Amino acid sequence: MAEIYKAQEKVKEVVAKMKQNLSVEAIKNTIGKIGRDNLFTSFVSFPNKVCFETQNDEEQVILFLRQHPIVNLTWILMSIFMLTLPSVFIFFPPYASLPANYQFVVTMGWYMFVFGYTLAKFMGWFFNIYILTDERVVDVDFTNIFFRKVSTAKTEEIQDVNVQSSGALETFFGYGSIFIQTAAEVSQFEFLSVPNPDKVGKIINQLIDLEEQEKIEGRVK
Amino acid sequence: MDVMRIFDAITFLSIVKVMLVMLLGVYAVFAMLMMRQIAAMTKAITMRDDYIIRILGILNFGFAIVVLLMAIFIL
Repeated sequence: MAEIYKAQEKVKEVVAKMKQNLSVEAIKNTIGKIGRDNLFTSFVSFPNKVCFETQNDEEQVILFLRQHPIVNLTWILMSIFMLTLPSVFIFFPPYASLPANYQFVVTMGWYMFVFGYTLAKFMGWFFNIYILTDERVVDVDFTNIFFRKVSTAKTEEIQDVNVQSSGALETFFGYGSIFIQTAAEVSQFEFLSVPNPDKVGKIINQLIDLEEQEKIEGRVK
Repeated sequence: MDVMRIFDAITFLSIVKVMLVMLLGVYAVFAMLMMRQIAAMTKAITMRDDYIIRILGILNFGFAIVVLLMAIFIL
């Protein structure tokens, strides 16, 4: 009789431990605070001031991701190159033939264009956001000024998670892509060039386990 | 006769001015769209210190308007 009682206690202990392990708090304890919580961050766990329009009251943002900052290198170099161009404008005959006031306006127009180009490219990186919450995956695609798309899938709809890191740059800087197959309307979510892809993959799997556990316990929201 | 006078008045510089003003006008519209898109995005996703990006958008639009006015009045 005492043995049965002990076994029941043991089962209760194991269940309690499982619950603890699979709760959001446990994830918080496991992964802790990763990344800096600032405006230009590309990887931060449990960010303080991040929320999105369709977020539920109890929904908690677990990961906030952007592409690795190194992906911006091309347009930054291009912007610097374009900034230096007005110094050689004078060797371009149609420009050289213009009066001084025209040259001034053309040069100012050029700087304005470079500023706009830089801002548009920056926005392309800044607003291309991937968010993981305890309930779903949110993918904000901001391809250009005229196109944006927000896709979401519930964690329970995630079927498969693939982590891919290939190439010298990705290996050196430690970033890669994550492909999430879902049963939602959007069948595949692509988290492209995100830092620490292995950690992200692990966290997604933890969230799937958490969701399954909630389903078993009948705590599904 | 008047039509001929108009054609005589058209110079290389006047064509350049019209083209510049048109280009800068189109850019000002583009800058305004950019500013509105930033406002929409920062409303959709709130982040820490995201007012900085809104200021950049406003600066870009302000810059576009200033250059457009310069093209209209200086040239």
